[in-house]
Amino acid sequence: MTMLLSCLAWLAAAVFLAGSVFRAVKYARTPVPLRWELYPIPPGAAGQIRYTLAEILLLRGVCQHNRKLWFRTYPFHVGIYLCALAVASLAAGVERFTEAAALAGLVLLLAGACALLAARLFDPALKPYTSPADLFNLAWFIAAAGVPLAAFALVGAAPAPVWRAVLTFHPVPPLAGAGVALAALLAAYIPFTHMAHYVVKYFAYHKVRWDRSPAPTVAAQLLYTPHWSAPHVGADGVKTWADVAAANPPAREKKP
Amino acid sequence: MSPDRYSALALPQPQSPAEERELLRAFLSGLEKLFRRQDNWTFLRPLLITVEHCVRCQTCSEACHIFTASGRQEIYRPTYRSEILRRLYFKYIQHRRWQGAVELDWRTVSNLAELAYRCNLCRRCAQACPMGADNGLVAHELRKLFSQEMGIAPKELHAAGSLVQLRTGSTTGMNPAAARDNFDFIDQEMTEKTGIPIKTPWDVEGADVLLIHNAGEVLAWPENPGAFAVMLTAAGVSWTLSSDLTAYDAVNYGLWYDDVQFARVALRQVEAARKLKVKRIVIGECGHAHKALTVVADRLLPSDLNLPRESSMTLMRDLVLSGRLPVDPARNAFPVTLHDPCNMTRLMGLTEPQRDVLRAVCPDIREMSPNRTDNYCCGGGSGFALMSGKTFLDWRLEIAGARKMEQVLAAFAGCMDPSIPKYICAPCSNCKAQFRDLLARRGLWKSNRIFYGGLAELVVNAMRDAKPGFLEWEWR
Repeated sequence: MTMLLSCLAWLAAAVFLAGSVFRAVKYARTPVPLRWELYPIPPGAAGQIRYTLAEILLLRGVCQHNRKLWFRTYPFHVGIYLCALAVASLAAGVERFTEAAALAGLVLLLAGACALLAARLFDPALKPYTSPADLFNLAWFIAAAGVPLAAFALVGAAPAPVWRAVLTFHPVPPLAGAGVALAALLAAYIPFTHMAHYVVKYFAYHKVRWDRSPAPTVAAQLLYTPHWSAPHVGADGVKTWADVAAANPPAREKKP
Repeated sequence: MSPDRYSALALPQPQSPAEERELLRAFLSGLEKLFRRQDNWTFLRPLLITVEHCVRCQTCSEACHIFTASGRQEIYRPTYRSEILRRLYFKYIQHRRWQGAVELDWRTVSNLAELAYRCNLCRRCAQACPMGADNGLVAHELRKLFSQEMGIAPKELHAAGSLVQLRTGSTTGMNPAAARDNFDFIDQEMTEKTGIPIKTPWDVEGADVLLIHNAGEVLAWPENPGAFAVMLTAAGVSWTLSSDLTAYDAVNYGLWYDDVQFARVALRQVEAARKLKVKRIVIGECGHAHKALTVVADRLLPSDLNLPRESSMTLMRDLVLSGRLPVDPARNAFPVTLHDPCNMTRLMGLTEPQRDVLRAVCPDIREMSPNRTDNYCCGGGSGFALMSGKTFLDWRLEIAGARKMEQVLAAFAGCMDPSIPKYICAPCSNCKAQFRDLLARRGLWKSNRIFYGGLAELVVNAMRDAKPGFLEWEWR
C-alpha cells in the first residue's frame, strides 16, 4: 500500500506537469489570430511582469471588480499557493516553515473551497451558471484539504511529514494516506479541466490581449480551406481562405 | 421569436418539423466550423480560451453598460449567451455531459441569434475578466456563425451594408461619380463658409495622405469631411481621396459579423492606396474603421499591402500642435465633453491625441467619468447605430445608450441652462448617429441645447485663417 500511494503521488506530479505542458502546447498550436488587443496594455516587460504578479499573488482583477467573490476565492488560491510552496520546500530543510505553510494552506484552501461552494449553491448570480462539474470540483477540493486536516486533528498526522513520508516511500496512517491520494488525483485531474487557467492565462494575455506584434506570419493560414455554407462566402471546399477574401461576388451581381 | 420584446433579425419561426430540423442542422454545422482551424483560424484561439476557461464568476457583469442599465436582466448578462454557447460546445462538439444542461431547439437558435445583437462588442466585460476570457468576442463569433454558415445577419449590416459596399463602393450606395459630385458640393460650401478655396483632390498619385472617410458623413454630416478638406488644404498637406471601389468609404461592417466580408473590404481599401502609391492611409472620424484597417486587418495584409495606416486624431494633433493650423480657442467658448469611441480607446489604445487637439482648441472641456480606456460605449457600437428594426431603436436608446447619457448629463452638470450651448465631441460617425438619436429621444437639444459633432469641426471653428462661425448649431 505504501508503495502504491508513493507511486500514485509521483505519477500524479508527472501527470500534472505533462498535462500542463499538453495544455500549453494545445494553445500554442492554435492558429495565430487576427489582432484583438485590449487596452490598457501595461507598458514594457517590467510593466507586464508587475501586472502579472499582482494578478497571480493578489488576484487583482477579482479584487477590483468583484470584491465579494474575492473574499472567497483569495483564500482558496492562497491556500493552493501555500500547499505548493510547502511541497516545494520539503527538501529545503526548513521544516517549521514547511509545516506552517502546509497547515495554513490547507486551512485556507478548505475555507475558500467551502465559501466558493456555498456561493455556487446559493448565490443567484452564480447558481444558474454552475454545472455539475463545478460542484464536483469544489467538493473534491474540500475533501483534499479536509481529510489531511482531519488526519492531523484525529491521529496527529501533520501534513508536511505525511507528504515527506509518501514522497520518500515511507508508510503513513490510513486517513493521512487517503488525504494524499485525494490531493494527488486532484493534481493530475486539474490540467484537463477549465482550472488549467494558470497555463491558459499566458496565452489570453500575451498572445491575444497584449499582442500588438504587427504581422507574425499567417501566410500558411491563408491557405486553409474554409467550408462555410452561406452563399455570399463562396467557399467550395477547394478555394483557400486567401481566394475567398480576394473574390468579390457582390460586384458581379446586378443591383436588385 | 426574441428573448426580449425587441428584434434585430426578425427571424421567422420554422413552419414544419422539417424546417426546424434543417435549421438545427445548419446551426450545428456552423458551430462545428466555429471551432475548426480551417474555418475559423482568425479567432479560434481567443474563442477557445473563453469557452473552455470562463469560470462564470460574473466578475464581468457589472462592467457591462447594457446589463446594468437594463436593471440587471439576466439575458443581458455578458455570460448569458456565452454560457449557452459553452454548453452547446461541450455537448455537441466535445461530447462531455457534465458541463451543464442545454436543449437545442429552434428557440435556442433564435434566441442566440438575437442575443448576439444585444452586445455592443465594446469588450468592457473582457477588460474586467481576470481570466482573459472575452464574452464580447462570443457575441462576435455567434454573429459570424449565423452569417457565414446560415446567411443570417441584420439587413442593415449585410444586404444593405457590406454587400452594397462591395458592389457599389459604399454602404450608402454612392458610386464613385456620386461621391465626387457630393464632394464638389461640399467644397463649394466650405469655400463659402471659411473663405478658404477648397478643391478636394481625387486619385492623386504619390500623395502623402490617402484620406478615407466614413461615407455616411458625406450624406449625414458633410461639414465633417468638409472640415478635413479645410484643415488639410490650409496646412498644405499633400492628400487625396480615392475613387476606387470601397476606398472612398472607410466603413467595414464585416468587423462586426463576418470575417469574409471584413477581409474583402479591407483588402480593397489597402489595394487602392497601393495603386495610388500614397505614403500612408489616414482614416477619418470613424471608430470601427480605425480598428478594422489599422489593427484587425494588420495580419491579413501581405507585406506589399502593409502600408502605414494612421488615425486622423494623430494627424490633427500634428497639424494643430505644430502650429501649421493657427487656432484661437476663444472661438469655441462653450462647454465641450469628449466621447471616447470604444474602437479607438479600449480596443486601440488611442486616447491622448484627440485630447491634445481638444485642449488646444477648446477652453472649457469637461471629461466624462469614466473615460479613455474605461469609457462606456455610446450604445450604438457594433453596427447598432445603423439598426432600427421593428423595435430595436427603442432598445438601443432606452437600454444600450442609457449609461452614456448619464455620463453626458453628469459632465454638463451646472450648465444645463438652454442659454448655454453644449457640445458632445464624438470623433466617430456611428457614435454621432447614436448621439443624434439619443439627444432627439430625450429632447436634450430642444430643452437644453446639447449638440453633438466631430473633432475636425471644432478645429476649423477655431482656425484663425477661417471665417468665424463654422459651427452653425443647427440640429441634424
